[in-house]
Order: sequence, then structure tokens, then C-alpha cells
Amino acid sequence: MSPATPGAVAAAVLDDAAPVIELQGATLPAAAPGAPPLLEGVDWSIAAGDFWLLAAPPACGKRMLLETLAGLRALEVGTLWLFGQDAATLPRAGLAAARRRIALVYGDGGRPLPRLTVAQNVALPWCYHHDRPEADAAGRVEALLEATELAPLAQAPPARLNRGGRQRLALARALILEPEVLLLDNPLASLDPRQTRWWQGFLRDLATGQGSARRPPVTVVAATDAPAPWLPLARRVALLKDRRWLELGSPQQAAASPEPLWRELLAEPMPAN
Amino acid sequence: MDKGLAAARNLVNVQAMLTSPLPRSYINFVGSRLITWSGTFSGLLRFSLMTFTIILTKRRVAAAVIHPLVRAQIARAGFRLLPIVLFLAAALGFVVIGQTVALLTQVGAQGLMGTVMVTVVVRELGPILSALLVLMRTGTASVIELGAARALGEVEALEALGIDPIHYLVVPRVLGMAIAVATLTAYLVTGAIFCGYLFAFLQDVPLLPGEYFRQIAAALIWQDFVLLGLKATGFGAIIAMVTCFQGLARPIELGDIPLATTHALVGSFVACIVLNALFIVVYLLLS
Repeated sequence: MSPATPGAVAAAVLDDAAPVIELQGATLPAAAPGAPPLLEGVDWSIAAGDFWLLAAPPACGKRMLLETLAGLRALEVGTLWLFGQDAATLPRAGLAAARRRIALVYGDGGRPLPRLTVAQNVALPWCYHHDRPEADAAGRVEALLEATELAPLAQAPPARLNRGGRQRLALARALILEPEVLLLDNPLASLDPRQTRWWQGFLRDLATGQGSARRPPVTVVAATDAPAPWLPLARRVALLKDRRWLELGSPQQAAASPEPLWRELLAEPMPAN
Repeated sequence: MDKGLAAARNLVNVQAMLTSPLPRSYINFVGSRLITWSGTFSGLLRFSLMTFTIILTKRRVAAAVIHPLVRAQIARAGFRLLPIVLFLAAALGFVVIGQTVALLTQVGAQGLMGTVMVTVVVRELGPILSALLVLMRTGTASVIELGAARALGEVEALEALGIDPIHYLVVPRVLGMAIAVATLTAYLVTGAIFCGYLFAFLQDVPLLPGEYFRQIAAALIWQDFVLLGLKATGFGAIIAMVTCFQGLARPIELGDIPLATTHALVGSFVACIVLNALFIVVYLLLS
């Protein structure tokens, strides 16, 4: 396992790295018509190899912001740049190709397809995008299930997995397309300390391209309402407050920040290590 | 007596009721229903157009994933319903022949037995009964499955993986149910015709097999085969489209699924009846 700070490796990559995703003046509308927007004037540049921690209380628009970054929601106000191209002007095929380079893992159990087995769930995106039968994805699926410690349950339905297992299944399913950017929506919520440690180790390896992952470093954006476990991993920290996106800087700067909401979120009980 | 009637008229005041405007609550009720129906209809129309566009434009996309799903739907909506369809075919043949033999024998018109079978079984009851079976057995399950997928966020998860939910969830159901209803109709019609003769034979009707099938062949026109195929396929596509629309097209909570299922069943039934009425017009024009 690599050291606790991926920053040393990532920093060298990042200094000259071009943004992979960029938001300029983005406004995210509220779900209810007539209500004030969830977020306004978001200017956010995510560089290749970066590891962002996005902290916010529940129901502040974290998920919607991640969906916007993934290109799943069109912006009414503002501009989304995906890999240097304006998402609004990209043709349908171009947008689909850009979206395949970004993976979004939902929280609340990862939302696997209940009628497929664990292995079929993981294979599905690769088979769909490469138009190949499941047998051709077997090697990749096996490697990912080994890495996520789900191999013994490969032929079981997702209902046999506990919440943590389903969350890892969602991660494996997202990684089979070998994305360059991984967006995580509160993946540590309700996980026990052992599961939390597993996620920390796995994401550290993923972000640095080291360890069992053995692939190019993946850009990570993790949204959470309990940021404490993420501080050793993150390289930059942002906060959603009063419908605004605020950058708090590096984890060291964030740790020293007097921002009351940030202090409040940081004080959330942290899983024991 | 007259006084009593006058009193009753005054009490009901029919004339006043007929000439006065409807209470506002009734108008609001009817208006809101009309707006809801028109909204549902236009939404269903858009959903159907989107689905047919995807069927046409993505017919070669992810065939390794979609084709097995279509085959699974055909097995689910067609093959697994075969026993009950064959039972229904036997019952239909017995009922139609049983009723018509008695009637036609009374007027000495046994020669019309084939015409009756073609008109009742081939043109009307065969396709609609197959469609109703598929609606009850598979359409209901589809609404519940898709409604749960929508409520539990599986649809958003598919989108996040770059998988088009309509392509993955709706297209196999539309193709599968359309093919299933068409094939089940063929089995139902064929079974009913054979069982009809069996019943006529058991009732000692003086009708040779050759004569019976000659009557049926004479009553059939080539357009019957085309229209039967179109009608059955149309029923299947309509059932799939309405059930998928109710389950998938709108945000839904788990508690809304029973209501969505009811709407899907009623909507599919009404749409099939309307399509059937259109085909009756076509048959009338042909005759």
C-alpha cells in the first residue's frame, strides 16, 4: 500500500495538467419550480490526476453537481467543458464519448440491477459499449471482482450483498470502462470502519496509479457530508454553502479554515480506524 | 295524482336543472381530467416516437447485449404463455362452434361455419385475447419492474454508465411483446380452428374436414394475413409502450407503483380497443 499522501505523486502530474472538467458560471436549478436555484455561479476547474473533496450538508445539491460534472444534466446557465470541449456544442456522439471517460458512482447502495448477477452487473457497461458477449469480459470482470473483494459472490444476485458490498459493486461496475475521472457520491455513508479503510486504500491506489489498481492515475471527486475520513486522501477541498461553491484550498488549508459550516461538517463522527 | 306529479316535478325541478349551468366543481373535474388525459397522451406519443427512433437508429448498437434481452422477452411473453394459449384456443373453438352449430343448423346454413370462424376468431377474438393474456401476465410485471427500477434509481445508474435506459429497458420489451403477441395469435387462431372442427365432429355435425377447411380457406382473403399480423404486432407494441411509459417515463416513488400498474392496464386495454376499432374500419372498407 502506498503512503497516506498521494499528493507527492499527483502534484508533479498536476502542475501542468489541463482541466478535464470545468464549470464556468454554472447555475443548478432547484427541483421545485419557482424555488431559488440550488447552486449559483459555480466556477470549478478539475485537473487531470486531481483528487477533490466536495463537502456539503445533505440536500445541498451535491448529487446534482456531480451529475452535471458527468455531463448527465444540461446546464441552462453557465458552461460545462469536458476534456477541453464545450459540452453544449458537442454532437451527441461526442458527448457520449466524453461521458464514457467519466464514471459516476451513486451512494445509497450503488443501485445495481437486481435481475443480473454481481458479475453480470460489472460486465454490463463493457459489453454494452464494446458490443461483445459477457464471455469476452470475463477476465476484466474477474480482476475487478478480485480487487473489490467480491469474487466469492460473483454469481450471486446483488441482493445477497450488504450495503458496503453493493457500493463496491457499483465501484467495480464504474471502473470496467477504465474512466479517467471518477465521481463518488457519498460512498462512505453508513459504512463500518473496515469498509471505510478499504475504500481509503483503494481510492488512494486508484488516484496514484499504484497498488493493486495498476493503471494510470484516475482523477477523483468525492462528495460527502462527513469530510473527515477523506482529508488524508484529498488534494483540494471545496465546500457548498449558501448556494455557493467555495474552494477551501489544500487539506492543510482546509483543516485550518475557520469556516463555521466546514468546522461543523468536520466534527461529524468519523469512523474509527 | 296530477298534484302528486306536479309536486314531484317541482321537487326535482328538471327544467331548471337542464337549463342551469353545471356546478363549477363538475366543470373543474371534467376539465382537470381532460387536461390530465391529454398530457398523458402527448407524453405517451413522445415516448413512443423516441422509442421507435431508437429502435431504428440503434438497431446495430450493443446487439450482443440487446438481442439476448429481446429473446428473453419473447420467451417470457410468448413461450411461457403457450400452454394457457393452447387451452384458450381449445375453449374458443368449442365455444364458437358450439354456439354457431346450433344456430346455423336451425336455419340450414352450416355452409357459413368457416365464415363465422374466420370473422370471429381470426379477425377479432384471436388477436385481442392474445393481447389481453400478454397484458395480464407480462405487461403488469413490466410496469412493476420498471417502476421499481425508476424509484430505486437504477435508471439514473444506467445513464451514468452511458447506457441508454430506453435502449436497454424499453426496446427489448417492445420488440419482444410485439413478436410474442403475433406468434401467440397465430397459435391461438390455428388451435381454435382445429378445436372447432373437433367439437363439430363430436356434435355429429354432417361436415367433412375437407369441407370445413375449404369453407375457412374460402372465407379468408390474403389481406387477412397481413392485417392479422399488423394488428397482433400493434397490440404487442402498444401494451409494451403503455406499460413502459407508466413505469419508466415519469419520476415515481415505490408507493406509486400500484396506481401506475392500474393506469397501465386500463390504458393498454383502451388503446388496444381503439386500434381494434380502426382495423374494423379497414375490414369494412375491404369488404
